[in-house]
Amino acid sequence: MSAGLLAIYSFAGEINLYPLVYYGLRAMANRGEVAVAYLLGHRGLERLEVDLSREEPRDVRGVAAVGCVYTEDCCRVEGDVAYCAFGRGEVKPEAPSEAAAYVALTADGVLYAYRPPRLWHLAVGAHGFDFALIATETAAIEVLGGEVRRSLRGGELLKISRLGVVSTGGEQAGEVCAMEYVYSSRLDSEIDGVEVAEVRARLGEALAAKVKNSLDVIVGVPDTGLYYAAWVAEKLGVRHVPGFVSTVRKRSALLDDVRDRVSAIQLKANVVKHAARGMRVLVIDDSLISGLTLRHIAQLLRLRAGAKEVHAAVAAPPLRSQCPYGVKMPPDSHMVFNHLEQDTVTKALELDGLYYLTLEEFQRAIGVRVCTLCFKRR
Amino acid sequence: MDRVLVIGDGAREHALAWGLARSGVRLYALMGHLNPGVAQLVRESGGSYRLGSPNSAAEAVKAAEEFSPDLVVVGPEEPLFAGVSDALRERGFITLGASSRVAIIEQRKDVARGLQWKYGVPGRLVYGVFADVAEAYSFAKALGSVAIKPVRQAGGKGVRVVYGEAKYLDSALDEVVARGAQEAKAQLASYGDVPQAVLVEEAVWGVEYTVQALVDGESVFAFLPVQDNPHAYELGLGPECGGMGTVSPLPFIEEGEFHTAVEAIKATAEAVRREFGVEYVGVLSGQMMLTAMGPVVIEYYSRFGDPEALNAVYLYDGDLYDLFLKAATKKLHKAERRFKAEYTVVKAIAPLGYPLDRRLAAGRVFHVDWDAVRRAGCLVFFGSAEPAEGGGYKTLGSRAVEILGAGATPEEAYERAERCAAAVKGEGLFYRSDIGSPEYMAAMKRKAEQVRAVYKWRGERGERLVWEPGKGLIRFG
Repeated sequence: MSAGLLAIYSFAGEINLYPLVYYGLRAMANRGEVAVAYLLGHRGLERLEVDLSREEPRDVRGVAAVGCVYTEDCCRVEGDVAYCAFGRGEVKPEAPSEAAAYVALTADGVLYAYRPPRLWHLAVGAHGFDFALIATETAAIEVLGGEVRRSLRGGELLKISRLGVVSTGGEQAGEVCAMEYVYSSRLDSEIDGVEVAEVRARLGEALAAKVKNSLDVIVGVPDTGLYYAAWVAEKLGVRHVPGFVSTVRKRSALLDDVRDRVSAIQLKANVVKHAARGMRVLVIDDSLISGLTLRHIAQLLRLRAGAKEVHAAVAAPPLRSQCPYGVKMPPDSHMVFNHLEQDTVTKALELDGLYYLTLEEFQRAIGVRVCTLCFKRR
Repeated sequence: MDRVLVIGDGAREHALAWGLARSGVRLYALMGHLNPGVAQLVRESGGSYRLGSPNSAAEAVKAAEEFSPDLVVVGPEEPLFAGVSDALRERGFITLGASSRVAIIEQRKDVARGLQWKYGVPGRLVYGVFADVAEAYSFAKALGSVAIKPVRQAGGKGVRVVYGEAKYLDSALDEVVARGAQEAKAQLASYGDVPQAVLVEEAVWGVEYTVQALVDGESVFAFLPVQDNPHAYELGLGPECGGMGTVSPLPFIEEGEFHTAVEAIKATAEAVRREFGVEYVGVLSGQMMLTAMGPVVIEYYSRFGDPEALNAVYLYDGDLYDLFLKAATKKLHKAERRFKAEYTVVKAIAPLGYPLDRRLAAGRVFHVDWDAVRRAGCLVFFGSAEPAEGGGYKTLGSRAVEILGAGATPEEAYERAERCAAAVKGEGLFYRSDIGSPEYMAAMKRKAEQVRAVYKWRGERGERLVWEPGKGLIRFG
């Protein structure tokens, strides 16, 4: 999971930018709960802490803004430049960075957006003649009433000011972080013109081909698992129904602390008993790290709903090592496949069967160039 | 040798002069500033030029009397609005250029929309006209997504488009709408010839295309469709301007969509004749958008577009002088529609500061590497630029140069245009490299397919029904 970066430039001059900043960041709440922005108004650069849970009628005037959503604050000011960045490597405006994506805003009103040669995504769009919009998620541009122009190229730096837009550098982007397709991105976003949903559908179909036992029903783990589940079910010809109701919408894989992760899972998955009672159930999730989610889900289905069998299928290979490029994830010691053989994992998670795509199957099915380092043992 | 007087000094007029020169006529020109390209063509053909206001009927008549042309071609819209064509015709000069009475179809956006509704011209939009900015604002709010424009043609400036479906953005976009209405009205302050009012109409989304046509009062001769790009900056970002580049012909526009535009032009010429009792003789262009409601007229030009003129003139595969003369003398039905089987990409090169800060944009010196232009095999047309004292050229504030690349495929035309743009060298110039690229063409095709599927589906269902809760059912069409 990378941060959600956002940048807005108003060619119409200074206006109340707060609604655009708020909804632009909120549109990327799938990437974290800490939202920060810097806005350039006539008083200079101003820091805004944005509470994504509250739609406040705030009036903050400016001509441009940069912002970020993540599990921690990823914006800062240095001298007269505000940066919001994600990734490794040094970041300064008007310069490419080795492995970081950034948006930056100078006190004299120049906006920069940079997409590194590989791993992280940024797209640019427009709303009428008045706004240039840049965001990690194309869906955020659409939520702001904008039209996506295209993804930035790998290594491309965009410079936007009142007097023009200049693009420098850039070639076809290298491999994108696999987890961006598998889990991090919104289902309604596109990366380099490829729909995230289309990629997930392909993975779902490939995953279906691995499932060998007879089933009565397929359910997905909210939220990301749902789309995969629909495609696995379609391919297998098995009924697909909603199996859980969420009380909060939280991205559980983001949390460091085991207790936080479990409580997040509990709050987002209360089981629909009627969906599973007495049945052979296949539950679908996007990825497998510690296995805590799957174990909890399996227990819910068996104990609370009375499922006869509980099998699980995971769209990505199990995670085996922490990302060296800055993606937040639990340490290697928490990754269950680093410690246990598949049969033991299946037993420990109280499953009747466990399926996942191997690295080779995953790479064949995904159809786009991705970084798969976290699926490999270090 | 027949003589043709061209009125105007932009890249469009340079292109018209270039096309006419190929017909072997002797060229004359009336220019507001010394356009180096027009001046050279005039010299090469053995003609001469005058510097003076192209918007002055008196000066136009004086130039025509001095040069005794067999045909006068009026390029820009402002001379048409000012009655230059009328004055020339009164003195017996054969003129290609709409009468001021009918050029109002471009000059007054409110009049154009009114005529469209009154006479059932295809491609209409819902609109309102307001002298009061507050009223314009509240109508805009009722419409949702709106385009706000000055009622008078003002060089493509003062236009705002706000996509207001997202109610949650109201507190930001309201201000853009309100300011748009104020600025649209403010654009009119320097024009004494129109009421100070604002046009508000429903904003549409889709693919733009311009169909330029010659009209002789009876027949219509349409050139190939061209796509213009009104956003000033790279990737289609930033403020509206006169147009930063074009592509033509358009593989993503269907024949039927082109014909709807031609039908709209015919119906408009007829509506204008019935309304004002004056025949439309000149150029009439429909700036169209292919939308989910089908082809819609965004606005009219009473002349060739700039830069669209470059594509039309280049791609016409015949004697341009003969064609223009036929248009000016009611013989257009004899003209043959022949076009080169090529693609063209035009790029406008503008000085930094355009279009928001003309003062900053003026006075920049640039050079053209003519060897590189020859190697690239492209054409260079001068616009808002004049010879600089120490050699080279100097910008005057608007688009300085427009270059045209042609090729057997859109990619070839694009690559040629890109190479050619690099041959224009100077500090502080910019152009849009995205226009005409394979990525751009693919995006336009996708967008066209997207709206086409919807308008065809709607078309099959016949009438459109709108259910307004609490009020009832409204039937359209």
